[in-house]
Amino acid sequence: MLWLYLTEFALAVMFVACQFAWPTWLRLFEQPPDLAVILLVVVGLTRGPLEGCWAGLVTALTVSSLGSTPLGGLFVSHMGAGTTLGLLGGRIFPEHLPVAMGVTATAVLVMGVVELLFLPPPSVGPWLAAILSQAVLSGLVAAPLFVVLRQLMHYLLPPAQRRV
Amino acid sequence: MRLDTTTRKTLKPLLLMAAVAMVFTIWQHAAWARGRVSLPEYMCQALGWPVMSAGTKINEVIRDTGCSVFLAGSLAADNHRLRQERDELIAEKILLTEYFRENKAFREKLGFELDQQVKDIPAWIVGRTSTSGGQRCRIHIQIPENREVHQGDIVREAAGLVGRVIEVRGRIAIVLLMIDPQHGLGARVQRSRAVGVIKPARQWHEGWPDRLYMEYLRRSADIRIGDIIITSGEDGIYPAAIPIGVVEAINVSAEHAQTVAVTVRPFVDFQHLAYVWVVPQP
Repeated sequence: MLWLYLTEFALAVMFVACQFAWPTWLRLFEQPPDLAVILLVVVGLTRGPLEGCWAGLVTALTVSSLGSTPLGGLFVSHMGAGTTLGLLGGRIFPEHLPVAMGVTATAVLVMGVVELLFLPPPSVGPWLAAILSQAVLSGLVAAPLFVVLRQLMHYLLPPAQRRV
Repeated sequence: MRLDTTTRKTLKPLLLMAAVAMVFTIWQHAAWARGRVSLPEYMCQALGWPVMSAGTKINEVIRDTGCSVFLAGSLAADNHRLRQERDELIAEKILLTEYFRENKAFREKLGFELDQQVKDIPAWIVGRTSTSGGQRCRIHIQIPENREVHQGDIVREAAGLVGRVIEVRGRIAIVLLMIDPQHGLGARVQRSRAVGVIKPARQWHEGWPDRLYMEYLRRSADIRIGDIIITSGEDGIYPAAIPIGVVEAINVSAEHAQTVAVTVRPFVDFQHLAYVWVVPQP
């Protein structure tokens, strides 16, 4: 299963790099979609708490490295979100696209609040506007990515573990 | 309370990962304290930066292709207008060169030290870091192979000031933008020479998210909407007379009776920056 974890790490690097290079004309309120959270949602919902936590670890590390942001708060929010989504995987219906979009938007909001405790913004009003727009955009972008990533996760698994 | 085997099997790796996260965090803080980056960060950067560069290149190609397709009809008219503008700018440049020579001759006569001519370094933006709360507004620039950039170098665009280099890692430099909350600089009104401090706007009424806010101007200062704001050179960070922006609104508050603040629209469009110039500091 090592290659599966390595693939998730490679995907995390690719998604976070794409997030930082996201075109300015496709941003909402100057915010790119949180692609790292989309990856977390897909891995968490489809693979479980362990893989969700791992995805949280590698996405937090990549976001911190490429964005020069302190690691502490990112680890707490990303690993917490990954594990929670993994635990929720069997209870909410991850195969339904609107559910995945809603979960992504909610995860962006919740993680934003958690990170706020570690790195407070200069003022709350603008932060709220930015986080809401990022949540909406992430939810929208999650739709196509969720379909592609879910298929990818499916084919990465050994045949015995694949869900029909 | 006894945990079942499945829970125990899941719990062990989770705790292990939490421990790894803690080690990475301590490692990062220790490395940052010494002005370095930790090994895991370095590895992620080595993998991530080439992807960021490629992503930015692809974005540019898509944007240029899209513009070409949608603006095909107006290209001839635009071309004609731009030719006219070019001719006007050439005439203006000749006039400015004349003023520059005159100014140089006066400075020499007065015994002022002449500024050394330095060659600016063109750099390409490969990534942006902007957190949702606006706590960080930085760009990553790629430095050309044969040039060197140092911490503290000024970064500008043709239109005006962009920010300054705060970190250099190999061929990538991190630039603190003027719109980053941690940024501040001394500025002056070009017409009346009134001085103040420029910070990014933090509130709606100040012009957040894409405006600057000039504070600590004396209430009696002569300032009007449309005035040009330039660097004052008094902060010890930026040289004087780099264009910053134009006054858009004047805010007088009862709380600060002695001072007045103004909203400044920066000359640089931070959302559409693609290339910048790094001005090496002597």
